[in-house]
Amino acid sequence: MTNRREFLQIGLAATALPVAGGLFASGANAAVASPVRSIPLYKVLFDDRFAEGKAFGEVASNLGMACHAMQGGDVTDFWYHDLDLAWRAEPKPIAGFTRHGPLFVLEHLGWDRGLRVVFRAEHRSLGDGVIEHRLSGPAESLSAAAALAPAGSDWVRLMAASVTQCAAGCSQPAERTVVTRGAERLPDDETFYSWVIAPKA
Amino acid sequence: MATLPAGVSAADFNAAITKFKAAVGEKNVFTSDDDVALYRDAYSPMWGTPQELLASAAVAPDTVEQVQAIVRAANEHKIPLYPISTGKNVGYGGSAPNLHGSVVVDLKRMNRILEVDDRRGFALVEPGVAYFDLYRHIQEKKLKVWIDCPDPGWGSLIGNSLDHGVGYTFGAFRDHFGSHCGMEVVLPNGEVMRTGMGALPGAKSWQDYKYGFGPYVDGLFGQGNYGIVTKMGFWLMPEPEAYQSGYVSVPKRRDIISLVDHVNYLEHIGLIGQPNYSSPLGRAQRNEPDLRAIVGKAGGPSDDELDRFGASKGIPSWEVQLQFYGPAKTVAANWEYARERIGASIPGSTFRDGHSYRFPLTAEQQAAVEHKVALGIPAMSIFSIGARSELNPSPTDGHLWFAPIIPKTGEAILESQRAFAKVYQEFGLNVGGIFQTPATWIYRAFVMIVGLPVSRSNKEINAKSMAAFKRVVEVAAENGWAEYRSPPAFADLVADSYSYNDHALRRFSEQLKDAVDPNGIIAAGRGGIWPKHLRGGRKA
Ligand SMILES: Cc1cc2nc3c(=O)[nH]c(=O)nc-3n(C[C@H](O)[C@H](O)[C@H](O)COP(=O)(O)OP(=O)(O)OC[C@H]3O[C@@H](n4cnc5c(N)ncnc54)[C@H](O)[C@@H]3O)c2cc1C
Repeated sequence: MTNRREFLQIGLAATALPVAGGLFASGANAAVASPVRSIPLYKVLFDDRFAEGKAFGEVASNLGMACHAMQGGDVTDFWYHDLDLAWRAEPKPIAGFTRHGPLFVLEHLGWDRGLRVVFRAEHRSLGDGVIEHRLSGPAESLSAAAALAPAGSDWVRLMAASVTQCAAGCSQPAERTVVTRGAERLPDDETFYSWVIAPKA
Repeated sequence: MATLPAGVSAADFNAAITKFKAAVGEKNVFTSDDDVALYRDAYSPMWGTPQELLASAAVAPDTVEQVQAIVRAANEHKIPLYPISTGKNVGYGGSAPNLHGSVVVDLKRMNRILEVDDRRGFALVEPGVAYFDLYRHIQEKKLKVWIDCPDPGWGSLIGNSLDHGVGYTFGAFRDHFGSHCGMEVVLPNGEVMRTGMGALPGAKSWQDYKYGFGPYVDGLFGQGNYGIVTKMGFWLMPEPEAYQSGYVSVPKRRDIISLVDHVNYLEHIGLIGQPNYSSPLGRAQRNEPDLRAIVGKAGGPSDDELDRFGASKGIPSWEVQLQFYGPAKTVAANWEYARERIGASIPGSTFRDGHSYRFPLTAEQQAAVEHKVALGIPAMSIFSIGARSELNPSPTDGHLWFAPIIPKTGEAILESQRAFAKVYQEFGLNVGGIFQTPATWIYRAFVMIVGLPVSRSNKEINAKSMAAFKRVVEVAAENGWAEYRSPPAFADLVADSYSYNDHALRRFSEQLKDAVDPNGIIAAGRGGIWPKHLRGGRKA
């Protein structure tokens, strides 16, 4: 199980790295990688209209993930030119940081190909820099995500690290709510989601 | 195990499931709670309540023969079935059945594109073919035809059209059921029937001529429950050479009457595709507190008050986007003609050019197109709007589409705005209003559609939306308007408003139902049509 220290290491190391070709892109992430096998992601999707989305994409990219920035928050291009074709060949796991719409769409399209949302974190501004994170997913990933609490405005980077290291093949889904303080309000006070969609166990 | 259909014993249910497995293979029959939950209606206003309409199981055939075997087993054990194609009917019920406990027949695996002919302009497809799939096929084969698709491209030609779904390009292509030609149907007794010219063995024109000979029965399968459709033909629009859009604005509130008449003329004579109406004055409310005060005053504003405000700020009451498709020369000439015609008739009307394209588009041009479906390009962008905004302060978990048909006139727009606004106001719903403009997908009628909010966490929102829905259906009926399509939860209510001569239409439909499907196994309750043994449970 990823412990709190390891979790923070992954996230903070990723935060400090340049966007592309960093330490983690070369496989050196084994140094801080979780002993639990993580889901091998095909792509990480993010909404680059927002600072939070950009930060998420940056961390995922630094961790060596192939990333896709959605155009205007719309999944069409990703679906038509990429994912539909990839999933026709093999239903591969994906992760992302988006608003509700793209997650709703990809979750339903995933069902048709035998995939499910295996990790979902709902991020909501409660005011005064407080953001509530409602998490559901493999118990292993959630215990690591508890480390979010002291993350303050770095929560999105830690979330990105957590999602890209989401534990594979765990049979025990769990739920947990964590609150962070000292962050900017989420854009438009909108709810955002970090998520992993993977083949049904 | 999941809910059994009412009146079906566990023994019968299990026996049917065994037969379904024998027909389609074990892995294509779904009975676990997890799997069956995928067929819930994501936008159900009854989510998580005892009233929620749920499936008991699902079965996914791959061939017509497998569909026949399922229907025969269902008949033997009196198992209610609910066929879906891609099952993306969100806002109108999703994949959930009208009758609780039905077994969903999920046709997604039947996803073959059987023929696309770009000379005669048609496609013949199976139910699992999504708009994206057909579009990809056409692009890959470089065929010179367009599809006409709904805003979300993930749905299917067959499922969408069987719910009388609609699109955004030219004239009759937008009416997806209207532009179909020929069907193959597995009837409730398990027999396979082909309609129109398809009834002729070796027919060479199944997708060219709809009617064949004798009565035209295809209509029974749209919003009906007389069979499972396994193939359908659709007419496709030839790829035009060019596209041009133009905007016409008119200053006064009642100018909408003359504007609609002109636009109807342009459309019905074949010069334009879908016209899109909007209200610049309505949009101006956001930044104009004085206008909001006029609109919000008791009894509502008079037309004169609104006109005076509009004139003082130079904001037109109405705008319409006209879309021209065809050869570049005629497109330009048609836009010029529209400007002359409307300009000579409505004082103060103004005009501006919109986008213009030559086809095929480059990849960059295509990426930049705002409303892709108007150019026959499927998309999912509709799910990226509806986020929180000043006008939409509390985005919800979904909505119920209330979609009443009104006549295609300016008078009907003005009348229905006020009639519906009163109800929405009564219920404190921030939808509709006196600037609402109609959806124009349907070629010969307007739809004053609104989405009533649905919430997973706030049951009060759902209760309010459901009560408002009921009331607005009644108000519509009092005015001679009614819904063209409805979520299952309201199918009985809507069918009830079509009550001419003591429900003669429904009685006729149910007489047919009894004759064709005596065990009532196909989509009980769809379109408000129930089999004999379930009629007592009608919800209206
Ligand atoms: C944001 C949003 C925008 C939308 N925009 C549009 C729009 O522009 N135009 C529009 O038309 N709709 C629109 N919809 C509604 C809906 O999403 C689409 O109509 C969608 O295409 C329907 O889903 P489907 O194609 O998967 O049909 P399905 O869900 O597969 O089928 C619809 C119904 O038809 C019947 N049926 C399906 N297949 C068969 C069969 N083979 N045999 C017998 N009966 C069958 C079933 O009763 C089924 O429930 C919108 C919805 C949302 C939420």
